[in-house]
Amino acid sequence: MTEITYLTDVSLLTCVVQQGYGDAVLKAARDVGAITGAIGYDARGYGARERLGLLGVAVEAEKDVISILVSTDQQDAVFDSIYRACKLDVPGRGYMYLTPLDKVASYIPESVMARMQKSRTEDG
Amino acid sequence: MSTLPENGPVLQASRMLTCVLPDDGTDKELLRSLRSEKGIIRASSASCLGSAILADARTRPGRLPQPYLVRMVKVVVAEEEAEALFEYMYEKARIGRPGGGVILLGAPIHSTAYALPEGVPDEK
Amino acid sequence: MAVKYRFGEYQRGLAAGHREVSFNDLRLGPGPESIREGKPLTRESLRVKLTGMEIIRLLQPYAHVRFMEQFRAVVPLALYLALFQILFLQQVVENSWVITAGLFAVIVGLMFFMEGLKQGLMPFGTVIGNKLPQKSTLPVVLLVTLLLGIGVTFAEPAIGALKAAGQNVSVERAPYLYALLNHWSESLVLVVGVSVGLAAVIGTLRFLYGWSLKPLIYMSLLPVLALTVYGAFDTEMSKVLGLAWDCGAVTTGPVTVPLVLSLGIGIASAAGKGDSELSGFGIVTLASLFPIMGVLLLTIYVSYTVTPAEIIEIARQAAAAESAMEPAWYERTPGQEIVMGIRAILPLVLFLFLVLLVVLREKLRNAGEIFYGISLAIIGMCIFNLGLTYGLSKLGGTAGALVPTAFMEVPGIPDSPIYFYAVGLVLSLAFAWFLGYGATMAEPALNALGVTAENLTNGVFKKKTLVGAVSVGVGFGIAIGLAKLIFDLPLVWLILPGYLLALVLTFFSSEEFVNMAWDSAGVTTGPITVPLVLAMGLGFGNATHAVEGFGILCMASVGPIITVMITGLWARHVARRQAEAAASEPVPASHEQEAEALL
Repeated sequence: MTEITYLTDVSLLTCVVQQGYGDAVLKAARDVGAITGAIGYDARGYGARERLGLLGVAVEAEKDVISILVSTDQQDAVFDSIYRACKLDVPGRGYMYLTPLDKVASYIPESVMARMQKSRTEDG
Repeated sequence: MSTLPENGPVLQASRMLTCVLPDDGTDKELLRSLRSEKGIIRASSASCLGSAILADARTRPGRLPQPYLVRMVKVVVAEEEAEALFEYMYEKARIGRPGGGVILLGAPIHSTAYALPEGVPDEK
Repeated sequence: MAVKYRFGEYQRGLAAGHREVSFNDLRLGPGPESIREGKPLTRESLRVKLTGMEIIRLLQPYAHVRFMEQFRAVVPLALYLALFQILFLQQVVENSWVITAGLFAVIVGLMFFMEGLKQGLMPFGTVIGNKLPQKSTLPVVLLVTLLLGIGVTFAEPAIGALKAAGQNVSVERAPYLYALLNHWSESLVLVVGVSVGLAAVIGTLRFLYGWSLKPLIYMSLLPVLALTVYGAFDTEMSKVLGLAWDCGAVTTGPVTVPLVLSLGIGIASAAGKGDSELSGFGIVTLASLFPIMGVLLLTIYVSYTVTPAEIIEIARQAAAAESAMEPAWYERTPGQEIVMGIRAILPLVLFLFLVLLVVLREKLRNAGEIFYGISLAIIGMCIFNLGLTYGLSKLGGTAGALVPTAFMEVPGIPDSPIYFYAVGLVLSLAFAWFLGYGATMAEPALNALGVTAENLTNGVFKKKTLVGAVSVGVGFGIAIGLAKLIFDLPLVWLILPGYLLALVLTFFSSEEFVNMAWDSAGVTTGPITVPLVLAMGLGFGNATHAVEGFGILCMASVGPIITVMITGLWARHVARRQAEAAASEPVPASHEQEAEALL
């Protein structure tokens, strides 16, 4: 049995935005230098559309849901970047939330592993 | 099957495990073995578009990585089983292989119990 | 002593400029008092009031995105046509201000119409598609499908282009064509509608019983081809063939495809058959084949009831009567366009309402939104019709009329022919090719089909490949259609080999590719391409003294069918070759790298 590498200090940032803005979310995350894994799917939203009366027709009911893995160091920078890029202060545009995670595991290429071990020995 | 307790549903300390797996049937195998070997039925699998950390790191700045079809598997388990299950699922879904996906362990949550009716034959 | 901070804390500090509000304090709904008292939540208590600035910020992107969608589809095409006239034909675009205003109307009209369709008509389609199969028997469902097919055909924006085209047909030279597009135009649309309805019924049955598309194609194409050959032997009827085949391309537009599909898929999934990957395909194919047969049969009927001489006589009387008295307000622009717009949408809306209220006994949810959508659709249709008359038809018409100056003498145009015959001919055909190619590449519906294709073939057949194959097909189709007008070839000699080749390819292709290829033909001809190409063909036909200018669109339909299936067969051939090579060579070289790309 191989040894599992745990990755810690990581959060899941989930954005619910109007359909078509999903790419803007990913772009915003990359703009502040976050190299992330992400998954996205389509959903139907309720809320703003019902509450704005007839103006609600301007709010797309179809949503893009994007979940991004971010390190806790980067999470606030990414959060702010996405907020501004997607103009989440516009009514009905969308919202996002951060979920703390205990740990993450995945395949890590040998070269990356070696680099991580090297930097740790240098620090310590 | 139990009837609902008078004071509303009983909440149990739990964890949510999320896997993002390649769309090659691993998710079905995982769900099957979770049920037959561990008796876990609070699990789901959904189709998503995903872009990997490694693909992201290789993509040129200003571009977005090409997304792939992936399966997102979510499993809710009792808090004390979570750690062991994390490793079990890591092995079972072969997440350690290149392109194997990723597994996340979330922060503590609460969940309600869930039961299936008995004596119903399996779907083929 | 130096103070140490983690870099992450510094980054957190940089991200200042926010304030924190507890979610508990967020008063989105009624206060905690009324919740404690157990007052039910109502729409009114949840209503949020926006300030003027917020409303502008909400509506600005809403309008912008939808405007740009149509802008991107219309402007490059219009620029291409205008630049070609100016650069190659050295002609100033006439009435450029009127045409620009007309194109603007097309953009705004389509933007309103598409949004209205989404907000006002699609909800009906979804509800009826989901509920109807559960609440009533199969015959009732099929009857509703049939009637829906008729309703959507009337609401299709491109149908207006057909009627507009009718005004330019000379009654002496093609009396039946003139009659079909003028006195019989309502019956023409009705026949097309019934054909679309029948196609929807058969397509739905196909979903239900999982029929293969191939026999359906053989069974519907052979009679159509037989009728075409029959028509080709009759001198009068042969002039209608182009119109008949073009009708097939006109019908499958932005109203028909989603509404009929949502009903068909709803029926199939209610029967537990909706999860097939291929469900959703086929209706479009049948809906572009059946109208051809319908129109041909109508022509035969017309030819038995009136003679060409009678038609010419009637037309002459009508023309005389028209010049004698001022036409009523609803027969002049813009009154005519507005009446047309309302007449196109209202019957469909009333029919959907009736099905919902009488057959389903469902209440209308979000009545406000639906009313808003329907109003938008009607307004949009009216504006679009205006734009069609002043913008697309004029632009296409003048472009079509001027292109022949490249290679032949056209009265009224000095210096024509501008080029040597061969050069001008090549230039004209290249113009047509790039027009078809460009217009198709920009078609949004094709993109959606490309994504489906990629999923269906597990990524083997890339979206880019499909879009490219279809665009090349349409390009060749339009170029061949133009060549038909230039050399005055009989349409039957182009259709027959084209579709026979398509049949042979169908026989050899796999079911997926047959579905995709035949559907791509219907998908490519949207509300901008159709009027433009129709008008161009008619203008071209008038300038070159061809009898009629139809037939370009149908060539643009058969082109992609052939190219997509050839590409599919080629892809299969390459895959097989690779598999053979891999079998002889046991080590798959780049396999690991490929896997690594997937996290």
